[in-house]
Amino acid sequence: MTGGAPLQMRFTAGDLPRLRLRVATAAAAAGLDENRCEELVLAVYELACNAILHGGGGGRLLVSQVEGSVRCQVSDDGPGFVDTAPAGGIDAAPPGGGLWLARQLTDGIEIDGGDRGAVVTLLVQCRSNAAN
Amino acid sequence: MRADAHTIAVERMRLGDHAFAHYADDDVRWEVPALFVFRGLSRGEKVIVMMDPGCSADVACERLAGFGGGADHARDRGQLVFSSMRELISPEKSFTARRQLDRLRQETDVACEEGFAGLRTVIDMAWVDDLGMDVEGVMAREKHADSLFESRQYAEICTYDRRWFDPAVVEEMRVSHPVALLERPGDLQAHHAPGELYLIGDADMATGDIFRAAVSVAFEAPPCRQALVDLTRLCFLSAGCAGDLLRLIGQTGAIDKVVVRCRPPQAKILHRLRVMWTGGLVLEETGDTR
Repeated sequence: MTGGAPLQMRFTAGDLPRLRLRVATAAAAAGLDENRCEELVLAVYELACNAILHGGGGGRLLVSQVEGSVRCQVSDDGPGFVDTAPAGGIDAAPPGGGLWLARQLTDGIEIDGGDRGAVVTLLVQCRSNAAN
Repeated sequence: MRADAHTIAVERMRLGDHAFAHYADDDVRWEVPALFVFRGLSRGEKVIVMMDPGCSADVACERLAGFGGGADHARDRGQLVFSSMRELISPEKSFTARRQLDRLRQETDVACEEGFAGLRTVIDMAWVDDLGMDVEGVMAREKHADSLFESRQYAEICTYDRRWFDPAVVEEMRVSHPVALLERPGDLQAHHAPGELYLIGDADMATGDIFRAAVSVAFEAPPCRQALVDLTRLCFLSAGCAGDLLRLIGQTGAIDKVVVRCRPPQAKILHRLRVMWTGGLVLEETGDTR
């Protein structure tokens, strides 16, 4: 993402460590502090796991910097889904737990769970206080 | 190789660290250096890469670029430099520990004068063969380089090819470095002590079985019916593994109290899972010292 170029990569389970590195590098380059980087990496990781487990074994990641925010989009070619993330809390990562956590750790989330695959977009402001 | 008290993941390295790394595979050899390089670049540090002398700078840059964007830009602006031990000690032809340490101090000073936060170097020990050095001399240097790191403006990884160095040398170097790195990013290792469990690396979908097994072993028969689970050397904790930890704490009958020591981002995840907490769980949040 250095120089404004977006980061794009396809991933499967074996790519998860590299995916985390690339998100962390992009987030740090955008100015997020270390804790916020870790939170964004976790949020993206949880979405990537959803894509691997429910979206056909893998997916695509697109990270870009948009108007003072880092935007991470995870998409897959699976059957899509309905957002059923629990509102109150999660226990041992039930269905929807990853989405719930991603929502908690970021400043915004958009979900398109249509029948041609799921597209989930996270937004983290570069200079905001961490969402608590 | 087993984990112990000075084992960490490369992601947790900081300026002031002098680390040992190892590999026995020509693809794996790039993984630790790549993370080290990109972490340094993102922190505003200058990075000097001294890989195998048989590998050109362009090839090395290309290999690193496969792990993250921006290597070319960093190279163009002088933040990322490819060099060699031969070049470092030039115009001298032969290696001496004194000469090398002096040159690395100079490079650290130059990096700081250029406005970087510090200098980190990754050195593939293939230079030992390239310069015809005796291994004993190199080992002596490695054991007496502490002054180079005292200012906390310099960090270094020395990577050893297990196919070339004698196993006894590799083990002696692992033990004598202040920091020993996990072989590969993404690995998870556990270090057990009586009543204590230290987890190192990444706890995620790929390493979940190792994570659960290590926690289960730690809870089998701890002394004093208490246990410590230290997560501070983890560089990644997935929600699934955090949930597994809390579930195992809730299920153990052999323990009255479990202290989970963790860093702020990990504490935040565990707090989100508070519904799973049991009475015997104590969360001990540390500052992020590493």
